[in-house]
This record gives sequence, structure tokens and C-alpha cells, in this order.
Amino acid sequence: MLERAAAALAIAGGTILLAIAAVTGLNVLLYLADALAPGRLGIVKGYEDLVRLWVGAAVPMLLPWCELRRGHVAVDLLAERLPAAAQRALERLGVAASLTLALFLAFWMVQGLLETRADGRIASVLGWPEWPFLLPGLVSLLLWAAVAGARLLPGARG
Amino acid sequence: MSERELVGLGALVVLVLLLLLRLPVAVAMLATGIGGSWVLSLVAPFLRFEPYLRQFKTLFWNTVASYDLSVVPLFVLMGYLASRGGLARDLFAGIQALVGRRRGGVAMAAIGACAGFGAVCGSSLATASTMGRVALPELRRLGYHPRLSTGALAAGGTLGILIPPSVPLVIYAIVVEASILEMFRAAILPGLLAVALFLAAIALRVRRDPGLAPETPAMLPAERRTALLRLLPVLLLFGAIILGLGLGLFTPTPAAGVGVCLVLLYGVVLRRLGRGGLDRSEIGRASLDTAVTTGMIYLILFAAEVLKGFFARTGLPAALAAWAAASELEPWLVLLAMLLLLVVLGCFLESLSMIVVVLPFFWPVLLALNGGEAVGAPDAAFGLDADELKVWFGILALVVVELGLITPPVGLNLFIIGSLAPDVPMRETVRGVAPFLAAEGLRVALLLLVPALSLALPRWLAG
Repeated sequence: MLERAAAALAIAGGTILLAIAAVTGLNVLLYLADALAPGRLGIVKGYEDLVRLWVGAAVPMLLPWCELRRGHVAVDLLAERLPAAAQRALERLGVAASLTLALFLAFWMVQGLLETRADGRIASVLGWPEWPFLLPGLVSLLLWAAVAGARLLPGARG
Repeated sequence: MSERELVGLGALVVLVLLLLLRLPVAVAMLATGIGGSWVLSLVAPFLRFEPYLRQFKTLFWNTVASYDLSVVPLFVLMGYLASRGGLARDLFAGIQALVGRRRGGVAMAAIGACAGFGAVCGSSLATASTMGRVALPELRRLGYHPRLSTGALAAGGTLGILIPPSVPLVIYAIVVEASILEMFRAAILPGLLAVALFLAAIALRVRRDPGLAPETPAMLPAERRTALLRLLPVLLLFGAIILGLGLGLFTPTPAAGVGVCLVLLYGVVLRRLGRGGLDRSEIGRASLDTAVTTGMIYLILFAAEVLKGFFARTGLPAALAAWAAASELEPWLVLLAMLLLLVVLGCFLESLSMIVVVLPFFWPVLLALNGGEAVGAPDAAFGLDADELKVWFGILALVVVELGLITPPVGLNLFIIGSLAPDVPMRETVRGVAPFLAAEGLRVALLLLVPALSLALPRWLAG
């Protein structure tokens, strides 16, 4: 179930990235059209705001899948020469550290979300409130923690 | 040395230990940054820990919701869509139709295709993996020696790190606060120089030992025509991205967005024509691949931000820079030592980690040796002002870092190509990359002696 949730979130994040690409394509076309016939068509209003908010929502959605696929880079210099049991222990240490990090970030993101909402922080050009865009990040960090936690359970595949 | 600087130095040792314990690089950096800040608050009570922690309310969001960084996931997605969309296959076949008949021509086509694919991909590992899958079977079928085949593809894969758009270039620019666009422009000529030197390396190698590359039979005219026709849209795609970036028609994020649209369109059209291409499931898989790479990159960038903040609080980078400025060290020797150290570290450390961990320490020292932030080119030790030094050093450092990808024992490209050709012993692949390593050495020398190779294009385009 965790694997499905992580995959669904990653694909949703990828879809947001495709949407950013589509808006960018549209923006470039409108820019070119505006250069050819000034004043008829403007560019997408608040394009940079839109990219910033959407990418801010999309990127955290990719993290649980990254954890699940063990995508975080590590340095294989000393560890690979250790006995298998020591390597497994180090692997678990790394996963435990990932779990702690995900929970740490989730805790502070809740504080940040509440503060952003209380302050009424909005995107400067679009005027959209920012706090709803932090919600996918919070869900993703919790799922990341769950994925890392599941990897620590007895019998988990690393 | 002050207590704060000692804490910084101790944290550096701890970071190396955590890395050796195989902790994920980003996690090791974050643990060092946060743990080090706690220790710092004990040593220097005015650097309180609680206010430091409160920055995490917004720091993660500010990193992920950055317009400048948005170029990274888009370029990564473009690379994976291109990789799954059949673009690499058409590119290789088209270049093979142009130069494949020469002795060694198919290996040269593989280098050309690696360069072209690197231009839409931005990742050396993805370039090596994709082009390895496309070109290696053809090289083997035509009887190319495994040493030449695997060596050329492992080396060709490194072209992705420099030929714009390149994710490592973006990350370097962010780490040292350089202009991404300037870095892209500066990388074009050095990237093309690498292609020329790699082609020359193949030509020389094959001339000395013709047995490495047998004569290739001519393609049928109809087959050749088709391959060339299929190359055209791929070249248009590359042209749109590279010329758009080079001539300043696009800034990086729009270039990446347009690139994603074009690669997607290309893949969907191929699908309609029944020639592979992209369907929904392939796009989904590209999203999942993107998730792994992007998640890893963003976490490292976030960790780099935390670590940078910590080291700034220790005052260690500033102390190193002040020491360098006051010393009698010969700037050129220090630069050479830095590059040499990067080569050595590249044998053990992954390239992204080197950019985010090592370069932030090197850069302030180099800047101080050059004469500081405000020095003009005529008075500077390297004859370049601070902005140009940043660009030139970035290109040099990335070229050297990319050497690590084909240097044993942890040259990742060697392992990627090795996994695609399990019957070829690793020592053969290592021997195969030796001529390309020599070509890279020559390129580093040229870039060192002639900074204009990196700086001419940015200067010209800036008017």
C-alpha cells in the first residue's frame, strides 16, 4: 500500500511538472505572438509565481518514491568492504536517519504552514494564498517517514 | 584558530566519517549542519540554537518553491522522457548514417550521439545508460573491440555533465551564486572541445590498431535516407534548446519547459507512427524515474543550504579565505592543487556531493587569492574579475569532476557500461577509457591556459 501511495504521489508530482511545462510552452507562444502583434496577447500573468508554487507542491511529492527506490546517493568507499552484517546495520542506520529527518522536516513544516496561514502570506503577483501549496509537502514528508519506517520493520527488504 | 572555527573543522571531520559510514549524503550533511549548530551554540552562546531551529519552518519550502531551481526537475524530466521516447535511437542511427562508414565511425557516432543526448538530458549517468543500451549492441554486432566500444560509451556519457543544459552546471551556479545562463553559455565551447578531442582519440586509436574497429558495410540508400530524415527533428529539438539558451532567447526555466513540451510531442508523434515513442505508461515511468533523481538532488541542495549556513556561522570559510589572502601562496599552484584534489576525490566521491561539499570551501580561497570580490581583471592574480573567475573555475571544476565518472574505483559510468556488457571484464573497459582520459587531460590544460575557451561566448553574447 505504501508503495502504491508513493508511486501515485510521484506520478502526481510528475503530472504537475508536465503542467508547468505546458504553461511554459503557452507562455513562450504568447510571448512570440505578442512580439509579432504587440498588445493583442499578453504573457501568462504571474508565470514565475505559478511555477514557484506548483514546483513547491510537486517536488516534495517525489521524495517518498525516492526513499522507496533508495535513490539517495551515498559514498561506497569503506562500507562495501565491511562484513554483510555490518553493512546491513549501516543501511538501517541510514534509513533511521532518513526517518528522523522526514519527521523533523514535517514537524517544522506544520509550524511553517500555520504561520504562513496566520500571516496571510500570498504570492506577490498572483495574489494566491501560499499555505495550501504547503499541504502536499506535509503529506509527502509524512509518507516519506512512513516508507522509511516500513524499511526498518523486521522482515523488511532493507 | 578560534573555538568557532575549530567546531567547523571538527564538523568537517564528522561529515567525512558519516559519509564513510555510507549514510545518505544529504542526511549526513543535514546531521552535520544541525548537530554542528547545536555544538556551536554551546561554544558561542550568542549563536543560540532555538532561533536557528526556527528557520526550518520556511527553509525547506523556500528551497523546493524556488523559481531558479525549477529548472532542475524540468531538465531531469526532459531527459527521462527523451530516454524513453526513442530519441536516442534516432539520434545514433542518424549520426551513424553520416559517419558510420569511416573506420571507427560507429564509435564516433556513439560519441556524437552521447553529446547530442547530453544536450537534452543533462545527466551523465542517464546519457551513459541510455546510449549504452542503444549503441553498445550495434557496436558489438559490427565487430568493434569491446575495449573500444565500452570505453567510448563510458567516456561519451561524461559529455552530459558539461554540454548545456546540465544539472551539475545548475547546481554549481546555485552553490557559488553564479548566473545559470552564463554557466550554460560558458560550457558550450568546452563541451564541443571534448567532443572533438574524443573523436580525435578514436581516430588515433583506430589508426594505430585497426583491429579495434573493422570496416563497416555501407547502409542501403533507402535505410540511410530514412535515418537522416529521422535525425532532422532531433537536431531541430537540440537546436531549439541550445540556440535558445546560447542566444538568450530563453532563460533556463522556459528552455526546460519548452524542451519538455517538444520531447513529449516528439515521443507522442513517434507513438502515433508506430515507432515506439511515448504512451501514458512510459510517461508515468519517466515521472517515477524523475522522482528518484529529483528527490535526491533537491534533498542534497537543501542539505547544502543548511551546511552552508552552519559553516558561515563557524566563520571557517572566511578564515580560510583570509588565511589564503595573507599567505604567499602562488595562486596558480593552489588552483592546480585544487583541481588535482578534485580528481583524487572524484575517484571516491560521487560528483554531485563533490560540487556541494567541496567547492564551497575552494571558491572563497580562490576568490581571495585572485584579489577579492572587488578586484578588476588587470589587477587580479588570474587576470579575471570575480564573476569571470567564478565561471571559469566552474567549468574547470566540472570537467575535473566528470573525470571521476570514468576513473576507477568508483567511476559510475564504468559500472553502468559494465552492467550493460557483463561479458567484458572491467579492466578492458578501464583500458578502453584510457585514451579518453588523456584527451580530458589535454582539455583541462587547454582550458587552464586559454580561459577564453570558457569565457569568449558569454562575453560575446553579453555584448
